[in-house]
Amino acid sequence: MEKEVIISAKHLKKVFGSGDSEQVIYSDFDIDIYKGDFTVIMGASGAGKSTLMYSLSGMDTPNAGTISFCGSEITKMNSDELAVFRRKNCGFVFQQIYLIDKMNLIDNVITAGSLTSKNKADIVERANKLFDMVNIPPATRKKLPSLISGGEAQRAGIVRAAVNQPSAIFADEPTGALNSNNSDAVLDVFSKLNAAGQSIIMVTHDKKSALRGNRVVYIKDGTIFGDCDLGTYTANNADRTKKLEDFLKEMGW
Amino acid sequence: MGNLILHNLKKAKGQFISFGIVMLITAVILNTSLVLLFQTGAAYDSLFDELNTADLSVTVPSALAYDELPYDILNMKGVSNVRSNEALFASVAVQEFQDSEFTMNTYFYRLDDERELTKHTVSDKTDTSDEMKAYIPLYLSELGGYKPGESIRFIIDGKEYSFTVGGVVNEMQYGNYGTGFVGWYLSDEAYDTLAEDENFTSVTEYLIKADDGFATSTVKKNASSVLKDKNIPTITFLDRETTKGSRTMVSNTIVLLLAVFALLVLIVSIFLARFRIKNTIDEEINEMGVLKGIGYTSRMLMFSQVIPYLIVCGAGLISGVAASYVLIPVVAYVLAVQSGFSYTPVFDISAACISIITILAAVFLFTVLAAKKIKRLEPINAIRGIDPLKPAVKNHFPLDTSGGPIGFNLILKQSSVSMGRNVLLFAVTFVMMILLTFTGVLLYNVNIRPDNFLTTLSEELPDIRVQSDEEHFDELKNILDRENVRHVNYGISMTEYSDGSIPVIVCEDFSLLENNIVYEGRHPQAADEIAVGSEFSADYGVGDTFRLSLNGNDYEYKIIGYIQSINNNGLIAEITETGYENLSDVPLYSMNLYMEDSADIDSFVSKLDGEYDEYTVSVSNAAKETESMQMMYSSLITIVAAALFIITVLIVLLILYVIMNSMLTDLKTDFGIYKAMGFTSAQLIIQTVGSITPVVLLGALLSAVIGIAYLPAMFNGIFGVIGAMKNNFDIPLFMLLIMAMILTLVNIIIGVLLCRPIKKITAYSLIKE
Repeated sequence: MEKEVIISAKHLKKVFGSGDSEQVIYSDFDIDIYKGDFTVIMGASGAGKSTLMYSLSGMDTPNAGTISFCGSEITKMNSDELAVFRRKNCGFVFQQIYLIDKMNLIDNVITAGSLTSKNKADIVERANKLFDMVNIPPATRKKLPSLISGGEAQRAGIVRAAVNQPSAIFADEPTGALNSNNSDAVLDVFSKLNAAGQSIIMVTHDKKSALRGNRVVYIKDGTIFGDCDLGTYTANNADRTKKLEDFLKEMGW
Repeated sequence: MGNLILHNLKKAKGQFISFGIVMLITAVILNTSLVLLFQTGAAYDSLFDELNTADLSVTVPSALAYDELPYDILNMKGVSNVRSNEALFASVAVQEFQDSEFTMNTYFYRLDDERELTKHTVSDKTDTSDEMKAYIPLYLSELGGYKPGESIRFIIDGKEYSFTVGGVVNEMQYGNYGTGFVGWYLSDEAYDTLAEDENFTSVTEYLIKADDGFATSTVKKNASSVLKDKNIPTITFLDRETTKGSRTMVSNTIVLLLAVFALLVLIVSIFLARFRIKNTIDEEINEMGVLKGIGYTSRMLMFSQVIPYLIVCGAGLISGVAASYVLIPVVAYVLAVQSGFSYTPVFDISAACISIITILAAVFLFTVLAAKKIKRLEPINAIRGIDPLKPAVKNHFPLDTSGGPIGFNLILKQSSVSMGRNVLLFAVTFVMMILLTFTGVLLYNVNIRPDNFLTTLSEELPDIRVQSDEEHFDELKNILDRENVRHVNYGISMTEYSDGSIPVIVCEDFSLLENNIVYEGRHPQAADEIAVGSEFSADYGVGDTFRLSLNGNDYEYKIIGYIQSINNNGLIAEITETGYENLSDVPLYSMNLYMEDSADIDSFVSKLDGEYDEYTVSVSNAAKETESMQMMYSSLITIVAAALFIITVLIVLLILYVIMNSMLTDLKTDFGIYKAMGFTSAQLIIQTVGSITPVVLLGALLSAVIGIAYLPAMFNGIFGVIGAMKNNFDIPLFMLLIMAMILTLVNIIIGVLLCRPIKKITAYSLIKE
């Protein structure tokens, strides 16, 4: 069955700086992201993985090219239109987590939820379902971010990203600052969400994280250097692991 | 440490500039008020001495003076010199005084009389062919609008007198109307013309110079008893201090207002500096931990925070003191018009020192106290962002359980986050509201309810004043009854008391009057009762006796209350018409008239001057005089109020700039997160401005409501200085609430403008940084 494209980028160009200090991150870059996929973007440091992801999500504006997201051309939108677009279609999970430190976890999630629904009871119900899914107990939901572990905070971050049932969740090295146990817990949440049909685009350096995806895109020299179909994630699947290792080896990882 | 100080200065230069401007404004206002406070009195004394002005000035009707009187006074202990001058006296209705009429007790002197005491100078002298030349005080020339070369007219009993203003006369006695008398100097031709006119009383003025160091009050008492022994009534009996007090009364009040204003701004500035330092410590706690870790001492870090404030404060204050010398001549001129003498203010080192050193010391003290917290920061805790003194953050207004819309709760949540910011906002709003409500209430009572203002400053405000005579008085009353015009027998008589002369209000029944000037006790009702002015309240209690004399008749009255009078500096009394019979067999034959419809006043004045002319000696349109007085004060107060309002808004702007700037820095990451979630810039601006609004609204409303209690005290304090012990100001709560709304709205507008940088914060900036 043909996969449905939710994001389609054509002829993207992104440049930082100007004049002598100009740095071209990518030029004439094309990519399609499919609905229901767990797309992993990998590449060396400075390859432009995060820049690409934030361009695709409308957080950053490319210098040239077009991006169609769920049928809307987001490259033509102004900042406020993009904000409104993001609240319905995008959820973000950051390496630094970025929960609002003066709010407890549930309030952080409700703040995001309030952007798409005026029904508080509905938002709270959705939030609590997601908290249950990520294994954050009710008492912890009432705590401020400074009083919980990094893993719990990141899982709360995922709940916030998912609360509005966005078209796609964008995760920028979500396990980068976590220990192994917390990383696994966070990745499990992503896998669960993806299994439930949630499209996820994740940037990572980590092979273990990359294994959660069904598609791995490798960026090098401003282009897609390699694109690997890993198939659906299953735990402890040696074939997938080998396939990824071979792919990354081929990419020069 | 120098690098650290420079780094701190550069890092928040916008906020430091803002703080510096607030300091500059404070210094401008404080230094202006101090220079004027220090120099106005001294300038008066200096001019007083320069013009060899008499310490005491007694004016008596020439008909009752006797040749030996100067020698009798000279022989008294403590008197070094006595001189006498001839003059003319009349109560004249000056025409076109600011397009209206202003009745003034006026002394007319001969300009060219040789004077040894109480000399004068003439400025702006003009050559004119008109022989009827009058040299008038600056007060009359500037306030009334009679420039040299122009004409000035007055009317007595329907007869008009016209002069050309020959110049502006400067003297230290009757240069404004503070004493209740004003002095004109005339050309010989003009003087001779008036001297032959029966409307003018020929008077003799005795100018007395006391020995150096000898108390003027003793000389005054002795001179008074000499005059009393000889049964000579005085028209005026002024001493140096009373004259100075009345001449500088308005200017002192304005200076006092400026000083209070500067003090309030200073309080706000100190709150601002304190807030900024505490906020900086919160923002840079990690950096401070690192600096402590590499060897910086707490003292070094403290002073790296405090010294930039002292540098900026010092620069602001020095610039403010310098800038104040642009403003001082302007204010001094306004005050000169009011006080009737001008001088050129010069640089005042003591004012500059007080303005700079006291404010600098206050800022130093409060910033050091705020920065002391740095001492308690342990390096490793600070690096981890742990502030042991900071109370744990609480999750106020939980979104899942609080009632009301989530957006509203988000605003309240953000509002409750920073106690320091809220305290500063509250303090600024509360203090600024004091200034706004003070000016607002003043404006309301001057422009919308002028009667309240005028009845505070004046005695009775009738529509028309009529002077009749024995033959026609009763018939005039019958006519007024037929015309349905309410009338009350009311007049003022100059009498004597133990220390000199005193105007006494005589009325048939004080309960028929419209302005109650009693501020303690009650009006006299019986023939032996008297109410005395505020000036006597210290020496005479209610129940004491007070002796008055007139034309050789003495009577001892019982004090039953105190009355206020700005025009006479509290040297006034009131008795009933029957009480007046104890002093004189001849009633005053004067009346106050009150019209049903104010539109009829002009036509009835014309009727009295025309149809009923034979029944009246003089008729004056008191309503018109009141109107001109109101206009005079209204323009002055409107200018002052507008200036205060502009400065208040400017200060609110500068302080909000600092607060908003701190908020934007503090919340930059949060704004990025919100934007990533999908919040628009407009939503975040509303949320941010909304978060300061509850505190601003609370401060403004609380200040407005409490204003009902503190504003009367403020007005009493300020107007009490000039003799109005009881003011009739309306302080309507609705108006204070409107002012609170206006201030809140101004805050919101300024807040929205200052929040515009939120538009530039992008969600992506989170990652980029």
